[in-house]
Amino acid sequence: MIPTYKNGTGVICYKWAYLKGKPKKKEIVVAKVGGKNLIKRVTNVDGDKVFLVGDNQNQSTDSRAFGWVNSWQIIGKVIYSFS
Amino acid sequence: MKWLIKFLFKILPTEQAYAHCDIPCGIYDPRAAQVASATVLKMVQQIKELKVEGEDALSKLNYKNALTRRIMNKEEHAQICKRELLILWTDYFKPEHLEKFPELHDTIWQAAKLCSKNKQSVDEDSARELVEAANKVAEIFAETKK
Repeated sequence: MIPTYKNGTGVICYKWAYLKGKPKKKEIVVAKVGGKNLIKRVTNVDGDKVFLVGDNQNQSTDSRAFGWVNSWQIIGKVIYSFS
Repeated sequence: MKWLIKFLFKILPTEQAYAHCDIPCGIYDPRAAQVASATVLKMVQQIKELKVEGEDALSKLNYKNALTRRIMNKEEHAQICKRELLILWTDYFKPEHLEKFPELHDTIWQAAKLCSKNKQSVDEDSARELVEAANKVAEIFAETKK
């Protein structure tokens, strides 16, 4: 997610962000993919599925590689970060 | 505010999240596949040139030893070549690359098949085809970096 986040950046993830609503485009979320917590940006939403792409598009492994992510895989929304 | 959050981070349980890809970013390089394919070709050539140096039992044994080492090396590097190609295929290349290079899927598929073919046989033509296929993938890779 360079340049948005660098190695060691701390983020606060709001786990209840999507209890009622759905993720929206441009939001940054933490999602559980392949057993790992990934931080990616939502670029598309289709029903219960979201398409996640990293800001560093040339280097990022994201939905372009692993496909759409189910909404239940979204852990929460990143609401604060600091380094 | 910031000090409070940093303090809470220290005392509250936290989890690690990855903002990067599955391995450190940017370590994609077709040269590993190219080197492995060149090794396969070299091993095929050496296997074909290998001769028993004498009539005694030791010479025959040494021949078998030298032959086995080259076959093992060919097998190993054909596998390395296949693995490196598949890493590029599944992790590096993106749909936008495929749009630009529609032959990408077939090129890598054929290259991976050539890796298997070179394991199964000692065939210099197939080995040369593998080198060319790895070079072709490297060319596409280089184009995507422009």
